[in-house]
Amino acid sequence: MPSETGATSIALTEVRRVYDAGARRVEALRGVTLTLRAGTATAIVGPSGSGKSTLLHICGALDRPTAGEVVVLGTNLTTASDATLTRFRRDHLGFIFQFFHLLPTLSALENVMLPARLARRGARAAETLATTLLARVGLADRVQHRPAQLSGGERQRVAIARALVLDPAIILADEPTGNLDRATGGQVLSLLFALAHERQRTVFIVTHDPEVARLCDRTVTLRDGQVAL
Amino acid sequence: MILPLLRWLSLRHWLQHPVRAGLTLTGVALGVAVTIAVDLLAGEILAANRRSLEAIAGKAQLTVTAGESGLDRVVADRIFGTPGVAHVDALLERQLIEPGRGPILLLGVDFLADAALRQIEAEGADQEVIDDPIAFLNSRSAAVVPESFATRRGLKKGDRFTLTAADGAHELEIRAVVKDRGPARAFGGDVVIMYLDAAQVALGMDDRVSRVDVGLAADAQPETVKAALEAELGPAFVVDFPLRRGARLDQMMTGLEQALFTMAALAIWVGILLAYNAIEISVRQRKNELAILRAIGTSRRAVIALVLAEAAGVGLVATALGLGLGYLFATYGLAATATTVSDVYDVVKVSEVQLLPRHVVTGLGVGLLIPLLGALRPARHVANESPVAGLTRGVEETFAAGRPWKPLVFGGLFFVAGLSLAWSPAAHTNIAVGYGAFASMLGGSVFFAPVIVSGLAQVLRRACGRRLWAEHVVALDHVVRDRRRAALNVASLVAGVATVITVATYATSFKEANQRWLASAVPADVFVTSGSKMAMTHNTPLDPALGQELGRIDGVDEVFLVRIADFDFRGRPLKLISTQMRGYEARSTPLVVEGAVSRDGPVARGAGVFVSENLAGRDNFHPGDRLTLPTPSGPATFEVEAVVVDFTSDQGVLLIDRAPYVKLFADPLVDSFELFLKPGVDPAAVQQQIRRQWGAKYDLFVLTNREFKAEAQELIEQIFALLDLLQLLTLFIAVLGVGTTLIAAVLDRTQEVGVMRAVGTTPLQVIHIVLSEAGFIGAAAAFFGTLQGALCGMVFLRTILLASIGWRLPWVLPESTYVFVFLGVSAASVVAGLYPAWWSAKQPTLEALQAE
Repeated sequence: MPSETGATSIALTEVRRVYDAGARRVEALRGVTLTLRAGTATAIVGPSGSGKSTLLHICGALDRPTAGEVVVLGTNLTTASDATLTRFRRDHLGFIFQFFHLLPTLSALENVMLPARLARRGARAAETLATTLLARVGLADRVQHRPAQLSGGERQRVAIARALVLDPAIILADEPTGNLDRATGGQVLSLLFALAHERQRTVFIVTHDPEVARLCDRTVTLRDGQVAL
Repeated sequence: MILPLLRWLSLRHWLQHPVRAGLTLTGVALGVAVTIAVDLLAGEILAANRRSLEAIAGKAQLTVTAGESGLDRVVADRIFGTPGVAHVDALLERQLIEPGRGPILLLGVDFLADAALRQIEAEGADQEVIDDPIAFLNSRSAAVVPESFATRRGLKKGDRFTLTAADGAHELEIRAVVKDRGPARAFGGDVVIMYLDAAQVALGMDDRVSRVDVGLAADAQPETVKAALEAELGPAFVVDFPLRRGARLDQMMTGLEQALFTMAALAIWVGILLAYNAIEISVRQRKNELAILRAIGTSRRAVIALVLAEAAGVGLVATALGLGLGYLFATYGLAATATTVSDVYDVVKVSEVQLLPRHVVTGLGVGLLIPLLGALRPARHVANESPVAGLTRGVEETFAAGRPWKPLVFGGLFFVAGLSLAWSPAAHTNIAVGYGAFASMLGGSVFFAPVIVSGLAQVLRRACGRRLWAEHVVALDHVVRDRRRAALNVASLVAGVATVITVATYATSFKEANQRWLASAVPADVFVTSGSKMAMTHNTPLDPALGQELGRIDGVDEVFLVRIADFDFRGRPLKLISTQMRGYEARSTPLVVEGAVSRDGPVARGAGVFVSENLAGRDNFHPGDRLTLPTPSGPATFEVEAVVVDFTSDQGVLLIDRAPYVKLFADPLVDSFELFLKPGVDPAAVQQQIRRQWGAKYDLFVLTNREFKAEAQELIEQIFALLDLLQLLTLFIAVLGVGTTLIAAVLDRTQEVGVMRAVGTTPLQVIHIVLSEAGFIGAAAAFFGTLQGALCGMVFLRTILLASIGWRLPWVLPESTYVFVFLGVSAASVVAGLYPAWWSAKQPTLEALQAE
């Protein structure tokens, strides 16, 4: 579902998320209303436990709100089935994790190809696309290397390429530089933003790092499960 | 200290993984169950035989026999006159057929003899009948039967029933019902007792009896009296201890017992591999816990003790389960096993299996041995590791150390050692060498099968590259990555498959060799027997007069009278086969291994003997040798004319001409009439005529050549069915191992699956990945196991079989079993992967992503 620049890609209305932790109820999100537009990079910041990751998971179709409404790229995820959410993630979302989460037995090329192959794209087309993306992230000479043979920055670049391989409309990143040194983190972010702007994609980053937030188009601060005004 | 740790760590861990715990317990329990079941079955069959012998022998300390034709009753007087003999009691013993029911033991007992050796007990009027033998003396049909016999058939005093003997059907009348004690307990109660004189008349035995039982004077030494009797009676008579006859069945069953216990040993071996794997996984998953224990001061010894105690706990629970399962297996398998033993070796009438304290001890031994052996290495490994390493190093690093060339080298060494043993001259004569060769080859696969399977995955991955679906790529990568974890399961699957193929190779080779032998050496058009389709163990020998009548049928060219007698020779229970050899040699083509067969040779002239290949190999007989046979008429010497193939008995066969046999053994009876028809005559028409004319009178079984061969094949399949069952159990244990490994694997890969789900992998695709991995492990292990099994089959034929039985069989590959095993094991592995696949797919994506 392509989105035009400036169009609403993520719309959250009065989203609440409550967890039952034994006898205790934890309110991770308490009525969050937020709109993110296509072609922008938004940083969600806030102290630990403020609900940043929960918000990312809900926007990323990995979790459902207890109350409220989540509409992403025009699809209401609040009531969607598990199968719909899976397909939605595969077709429209790209994930980048703090710990990269690459499959250790696959080469960099295969890791990037994986979502495309799981989506039943042709092997040759997937390989061409993955090779191009890896070249774009500066890993043209590392395509056959396994994750264990790559540095942290290189691994995260592979993860970025994997997130982009199906050309998703939205890229969700959870502390993408949290496991990298400052210089490498800066390079990775620059690359991510360049690719996002180039392709007019929405980038949604959860971070603790004010420097990362500073590089984004917009910063949303969460505090105690609510958007701080 | 160990007990709290067991409760806090071990018990909780196993309870948290109930499916894996269940699979491990089932695997170990099945190992115990198979061992116990085999022990119970063999024990009950031999015990039933002993019970029967004891029941007939009563208090007799010695017994005198003289071959199948029996001995003259007057010999009893000579025996009684021998110093040390206090009582003698002549007995007639004949196995007859009760139409529609099978073998019955007819005992002719001398009620007038003193009751010192055996007593028949009844109550009231029945006892009076027994005490008054006059009631029997003039009747050829008066019989007494045990209570159980009458109850099973709904018969009572005065009722009549029919038995088939050599001269046809005999109707007997029940004059008394006696208690199931003494001789009435013999043959599982399927016994009919007649007055000795009446039985002799009824069976046309003149004044011959089957045996004379001897009771000794209080101060007599059995060995001394035995020697005196042997000196008095001469070599035509056999003086022995009554229960020694039980050893005969024991000896005949040795091959079957060995095969069954080998299968049980394999089930134990696979169980050990399963337990090892399960315990290693369990220890590995608690690596950090155990490292913490070490860090806070727990000694190495205590950690080892903890892991071993945990294994012992698994063993105890599994033993309890295994004993119950083993008892059930044995109870349900007893009838089938007894039928096989009865059809092939000797008729046994079993009652029920009994679980004795020694079985519990055996079960405990196996049940504790399996997990304790399995736990030793993981326990030592984790105890010897430094706490720091255990706390900091990754799971895979801790256990995945090692280079693939090492197992390849070790495996190769084992394999080469196995082949060297198999090709050593000693392998043909020493069964231990054969087992050594076999075990070495199976042991070798433990080392290199996992490397080969993971290598196959790599090759497939590279060779097929883009053509593979992403799920298959990931699944193959898992196989490669988890080589160490899956190693033992792959090895046990390979061992299981190899064993199945080995036994199938034996069965196929035996069937093929048997068919060739029957086609050339047993070519008659029609076979006539009584009481049983084959002249093996429970047919009734017939009167030779029937042969003349059969010869008068239109279209019958020639009738051969074949007697297949039990014959003890040099301590072995052989078969002594006799027929009109001159004519038979003209009709058939014996498969000669050594020497030559001539129509005017010593055998045709009545002066020679053909020796079966297995007997000749064992006792080193060659053409030209002279062989002295003990006969009721005294020792008789025959010249070995040729060594021939003969599969009638795995103990050995001697073939002589009928004329000297009848003369020397005073035994004119016939086990099988083999008819050769004139050209163009339809065997089915002759078959129908024989059935019409004599079928009912003699309880005849009339088979055409094709039916006879089919029956022989069925008998072989019946023997192998027992082994097939044990093999399936072994494979089942191995497949359980695949389930155990995959459960551990998906648990370890939870986060990885979470990532895959996050990037859009559907639950079905996750299931597809796990099942592909399971299927590949199964298929690759089946493929490799099949190759190894073909080789092991050849080794088995040229070592264990040759050394134990002496048959040289051609190496025939069981192609249909290959397909069945390949598909079956692959499918079973996929089934074993269903639960792990389902579990993995149902994990919520977010929780999986956050899993540690």
